[in-house]
Amino acid sequence: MKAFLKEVAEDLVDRLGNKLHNSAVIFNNKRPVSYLQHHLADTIGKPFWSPSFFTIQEFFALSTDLLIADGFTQFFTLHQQYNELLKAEGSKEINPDVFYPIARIILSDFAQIDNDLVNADQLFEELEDIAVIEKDFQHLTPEQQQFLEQFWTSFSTGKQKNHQEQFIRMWRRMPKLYRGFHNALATKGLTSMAHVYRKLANGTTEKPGFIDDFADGKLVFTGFNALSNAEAVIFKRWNEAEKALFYFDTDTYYMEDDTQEAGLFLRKNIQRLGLPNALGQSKPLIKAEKKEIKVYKTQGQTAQAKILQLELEEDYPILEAADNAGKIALILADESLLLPVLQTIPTHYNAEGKRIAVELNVTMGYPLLATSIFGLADIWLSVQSQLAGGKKDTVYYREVEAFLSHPLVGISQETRNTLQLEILTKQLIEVDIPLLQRSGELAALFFTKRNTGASAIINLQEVFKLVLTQQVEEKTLKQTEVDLFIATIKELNRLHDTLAEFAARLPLPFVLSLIQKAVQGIAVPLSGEPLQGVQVMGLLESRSLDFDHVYILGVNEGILPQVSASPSFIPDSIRRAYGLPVIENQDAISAYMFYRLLQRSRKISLVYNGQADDNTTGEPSRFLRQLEFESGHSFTYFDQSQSVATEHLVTASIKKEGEVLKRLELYLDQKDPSVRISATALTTYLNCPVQFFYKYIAKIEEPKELSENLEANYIGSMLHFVLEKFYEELKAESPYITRERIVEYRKYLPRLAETAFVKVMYDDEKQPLTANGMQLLFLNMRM
Amino acid sequence: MQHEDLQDLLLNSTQSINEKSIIDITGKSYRPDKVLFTAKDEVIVIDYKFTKKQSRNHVKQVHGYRNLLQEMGYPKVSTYLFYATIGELILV
Repeated sequence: MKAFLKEVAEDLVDRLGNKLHNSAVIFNNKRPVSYLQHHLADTIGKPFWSPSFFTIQEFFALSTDLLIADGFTQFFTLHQQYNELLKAEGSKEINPDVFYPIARIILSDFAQIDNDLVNADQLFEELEDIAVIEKDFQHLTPEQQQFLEQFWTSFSTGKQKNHQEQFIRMWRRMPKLYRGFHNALATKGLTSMAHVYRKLANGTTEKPGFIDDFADGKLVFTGFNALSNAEAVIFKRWNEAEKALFYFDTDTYYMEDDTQEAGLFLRKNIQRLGLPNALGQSKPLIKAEKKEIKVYKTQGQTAQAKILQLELEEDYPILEAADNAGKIALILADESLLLPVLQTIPTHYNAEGKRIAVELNVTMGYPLLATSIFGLADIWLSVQSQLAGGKKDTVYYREVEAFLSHPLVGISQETRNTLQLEILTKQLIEVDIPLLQRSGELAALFFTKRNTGASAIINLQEVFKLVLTQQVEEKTLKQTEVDLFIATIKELNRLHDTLAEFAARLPLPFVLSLIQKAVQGIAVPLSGEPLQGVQVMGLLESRSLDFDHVYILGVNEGILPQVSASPSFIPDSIRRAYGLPVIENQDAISAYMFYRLLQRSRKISLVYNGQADDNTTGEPSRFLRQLEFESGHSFTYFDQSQSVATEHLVTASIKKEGEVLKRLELYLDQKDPSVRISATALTTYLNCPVQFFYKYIAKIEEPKELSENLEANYIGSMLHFVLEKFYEELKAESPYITRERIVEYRKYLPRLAETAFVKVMYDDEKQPLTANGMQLLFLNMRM
Repeated sequence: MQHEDLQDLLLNSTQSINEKSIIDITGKSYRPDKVLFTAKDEVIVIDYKFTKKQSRNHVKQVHGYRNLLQEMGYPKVSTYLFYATIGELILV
C-alpha cells in the first residue's frame, strides 16, 4: 500500500508544482524529512529545488529574536524569582536542592499553561480558592484528596495542617512567579518554547513576518494529531489566510466511530477546528486488506527481543528490494528494550549460500546510561559525594575496587595488584587518598577532593578527557563511544557555564546531583543509513512513517498506553475546566500512534511480556484486545515455553593414591598433633567429600577478603586464640590450675583479646590495633 | 568578499539563491553556497572554501552541482570556487 508520505509527496507536487521550493514543510519531529525527500525525488524523477524542512518547534522559534533557554537556565531563573518572592514576604530563602523537584513541576505547569493559552492569573486564583476549600476537606472525592496529599508530602515533612498552609502560600505566589519568570528570561534575551507558542497565537510575537519567506508557497503541516490550544489558534489563522496545507493521516476505522479514542484529536481538528485534510476524505485502510497479525507472549522482559530472531531472519530477504526504507521496523513501545534488541537481533542472513549483512538504523540514539562510561562517572560521583561531606579524607574500599577493575581506567595489572594487596593486608575499609593517588595520573585526578561545584565539574571533565586520550591512543574505542565521551565533555561544559552564571555558592552535593542528572540523559545518534535496512525506533518517532512489516515490542497494559501522568500541581478538575491535557489525551495519543502503524502494513508482530513483575502486569495491552474484537483480522498466537531440566548428577572420583594418600595418612599419625581432623573438617567431608578434598587435602584456600564486620569464623578464631593463650600463660606460671587463679587471671583478658584481634585480622601480632565500629563493639565485649 | 571579479558576477545576476538545497533522484540533498541566474539564462554556481590549498574534491563537488542543475533544466552552467582566505576566484 502507498505510504502516507508518498501520498503527501504526490499531492504536493501536484498542487504546488514549481512553487514547491518556496514552501516550508513542517513535521512533529525530524525523522520523516529524509523519507519525504525520498518520495518527492521518486515522484519528480529528476533533481529539484528542495522545499525548506522544519520541526514545528524550529519553525515557531523563527518568530522570535529571543533564544530558547535550556532546562538548567530555566530552573535557576525560576529559583531566583521564587526566592525574591519569599524575601518580599519576609520568609527564609529556599535552597536550590530543596527547590529542584518542585521547580520541575512548576516549569512543566507553566509550559502547559502557555501551550494551551490559559490565563495564568485566572487559573491560579481559582486554584487558591480550591485550596482553601480543600483545607476543610469539603466536596472532595477521595482521589482528589489523595492527589493533593501527594503534593503536600512532596515538598515538606511536617504535620498535615502545616502542609496545607504551605501549599496555599505557594499558590499565592504563582501568578507573580509566572510573570517574574518570563520577565527575567526576557531581560536576558531568553524565552521558553511554550511562551513562543503563546505569543505567536496571541499575535504578540517579535517577528510576525517570519512566514513571508514562504509567501509564494505554502506552509505544509504534515502528520499532526493532538494540537495544543496555541497550535490550534495558529493553524486556524493560517488556514483562513490560505497560507497553509494540512496533511492528516486518517483512517475511517477511527474517524467514523466517535467512541474510538485513536481518532479523538483528528476528528476535532477536521470537524471542530475546520482544518481541511489536503488528502481529502478518510479511506478505510486498516480493514482494507487482509493482514497477517502475530502475537508473541514471552516469559520475561528481555525475551521480547530474543524471540524475534527467527521471524526476522525469515523476513530479511525483503530488504533486497532496491528501495527498502519502508520494509521492516522494530517499534519499541518500551524504550528500555533498546539494549536487548541491539544485542540480539540478527545482523546477517543467509541467501543462496551467501551471508548478507543487514543495515541497522537506530533513531533513538545510544544512551550513555548503558555504557561503561556512565559507570565511571557513577563511581566518580559516589567518591566525590563521600568526600563532599567534609568529614573524611578517605574513600570507601568498594569504590576503590570498582575504580581499579573498571575497563576504562587503564591501570596496569601490577599497579592494581599492589594496591589491592595493600588494602587487603592492612584491612583498609577506608582507603587514604594519598595512597590512592600513587596509582597513576588518572587515579591522582580521580581521587582529589573538590570543594566547589565548579571545580568538581571541571574535575570530571578532566577525568573524561584523560580517559579519552588514553583510550584513543590504545585504539580500543568504538566510534559511538568516542561520540559519547565528546557529548559528555560538552554537556559538562554547558553545565559549568550555566552554573557559573547563576550561583557560584551552590552546595556541592546539589551540584553533584545536577551533574548526575545532566550526564544520565546523554544519548548520541547511532550511525546508520536512514533509508536502508531495519529501522529501530520508539513509538513517538514512528509518526508519519509506514512499514511493510511492523514489529511492536512492549505491547503490555501499563506501557501501551502509558498509565502515569506527568506530575502537576494543577488538580484534574481544574485541568478539565481549562482544557489542559488530562490522562485520556495521553491514551488517545498512544492509541493513534498504535493504530496508525497498522494502517498500511502487511504484517504485524506484536510482542508482550507475559510475566508479571514489579514493572509490568503481564497483561497484553487493551489496544490489542480491542483490535482482536473490532478489526475482524485473524490473529496467530505464540507462547514462549522454556524447557526446564535438572542438572545431571556428576560423580568426581579422586583416587586415594600418591600424594593424596600420603596426606590422608597424616590424619592417622597419632604422633603429630598438628594434623588432627577438626569438627569443621569432618562436617565438610560429610557434606561434600570433593569440597573436603579441595580444602584439606589439596589445600586450596579461599581468597582472603576484606571483612567490614567481623565474620563468625574470625570471632571463632579469636576465641580459640584467647583461650589457648590464657591457659598457656597460666600453665607457664604453675601447672596447678585452680578456680581462684582463673578468676584472678581474667584481668589480662583485654590484652589477650587485642592481641588475638590483630593476629587474626592482620596475621601479625605486632601490627598496631585499628578497629572500626563493629570491631570495637566486639572488642569491648571482651568475652 | 571585496573581490572584484566576484563583485562583477554578483552585480550581473538577476536572481541569487543562497543556501538552498537540491534533492537528487535518490532523495539525497546538496547545498551549494550560492547559485546566480543571469539575464542570458546562464546559471553560475559559486562555492566558498576556507582552505588555503585547492583540492580536486572541491572541483568534483561543484561539478556535481553542475550536473544536478543541468538535469533540472538549466543547460548553461558555469562553476566557480572562491578561496576566501587567499582571495582567489577560480573558474573550474
